[in-house]
Amino acid sequence: MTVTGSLTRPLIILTGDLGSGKTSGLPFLAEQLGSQMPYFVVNEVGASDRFVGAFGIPRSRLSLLPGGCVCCVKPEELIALLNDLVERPHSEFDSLIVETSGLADPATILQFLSSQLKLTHQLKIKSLVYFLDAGSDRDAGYLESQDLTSLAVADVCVIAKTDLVSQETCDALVEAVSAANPTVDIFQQRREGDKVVVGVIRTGEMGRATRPLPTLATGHAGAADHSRVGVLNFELPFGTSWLALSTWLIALLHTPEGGVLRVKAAIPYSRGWVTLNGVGTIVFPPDSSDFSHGHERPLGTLVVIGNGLSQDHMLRSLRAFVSSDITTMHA
Amino acid sequence: MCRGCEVDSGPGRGEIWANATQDEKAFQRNSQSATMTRILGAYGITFRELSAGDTFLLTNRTGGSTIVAGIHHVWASAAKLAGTEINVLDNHILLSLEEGP
Repeated sequence: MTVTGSLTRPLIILTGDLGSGKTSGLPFLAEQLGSQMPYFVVNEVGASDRFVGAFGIPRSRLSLLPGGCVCCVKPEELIALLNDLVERPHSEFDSLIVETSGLADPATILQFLSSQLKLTHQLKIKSLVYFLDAGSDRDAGYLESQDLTSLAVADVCVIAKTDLVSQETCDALVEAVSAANPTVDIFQQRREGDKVVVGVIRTGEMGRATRPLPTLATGHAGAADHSRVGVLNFELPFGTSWLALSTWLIALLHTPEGGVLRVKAAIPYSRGWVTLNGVGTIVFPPDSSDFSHGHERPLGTLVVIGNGLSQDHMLRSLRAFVSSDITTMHA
Repeated sequence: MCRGCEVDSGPGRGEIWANATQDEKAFQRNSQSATMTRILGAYGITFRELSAGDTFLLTNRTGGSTIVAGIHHVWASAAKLAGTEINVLDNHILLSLEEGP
């Protein structure tokens, strides 16, 4: 089969606690993320498909993977399904949304998806969405280990069930999420009467520095199985070559045991911004947005997410191979 | 052409490439070339971009060479020519570059 760029469709992966509101928010979140006609893949640890239909997801654009978590029990089934779906015409759906079970580890899913050459050519991971249940019994303002490791690789966090908690609790969660990963876009999902409403709370700032991870809630520190997942942020001088940076990023993603899960960059230049997005060993062709910076020459941002990364090594390599003016972002 | 190769191909650079001025294209090409020269040079490999635009001729110190289509395939091919993986985070290489010639 001939593969061309026009066949690429966005892939949105949803993770989050069991019962955190992932399924009920699916159609609304898809709209917020710019998907007009998404195809839904819903993974359930249990075996019921009853809930899905109740939330207005059309059967013609729905596949169920019940009976086991896709990150550990059913990765082959997910890959087979995605391989089948990407062969279908664009007239059937314009994006894929994979709702994982409440137990799934998003870093693991990213890793095995990125090892699938065909899929990385035909699907572009647009967003990794983490659902955080505001109504659970976590201490206000504290995140648990699974929250932290999932947020480290997330692009979007949906704080669900905010109608069940006080405004103070909601604000504390927003601050904790933002501190864990400043680049993440934060939405809230609440029920208003019979309706589920999804709205933006805070847009992630690529330009904000990473802070130390917040303190884990008491009693959960021992559960941090993926505690080495971290986020590195760098400042890119105005006009940094996106082609040079993407070349370095490709080399970085090919580095043996480099531990990098995702890279994303926003680079300002004379006519607007160029964004780069990479996962696995693939750096996708750049996207651009045209607008004038006026007289300002803003700095760009590079975000590198992965396991056991060294900020010092990464910065030295960027300076040696891309631009000596690149700096670490300071809080 | 695969999506990986597209990053370095003319069309694959996307709209931004199509809309770029000749000066911008020259700047991007030169910057990419400088980055590739530094990375590959650290492993004793030289490269030349062939007229196809997304194809590179890699040559090692002993004259071994290979033609590679697409930047995504450069690093694996360079590793074979170098006899070791290309590691842009290698501390010894970073030190030697920082110390200069």
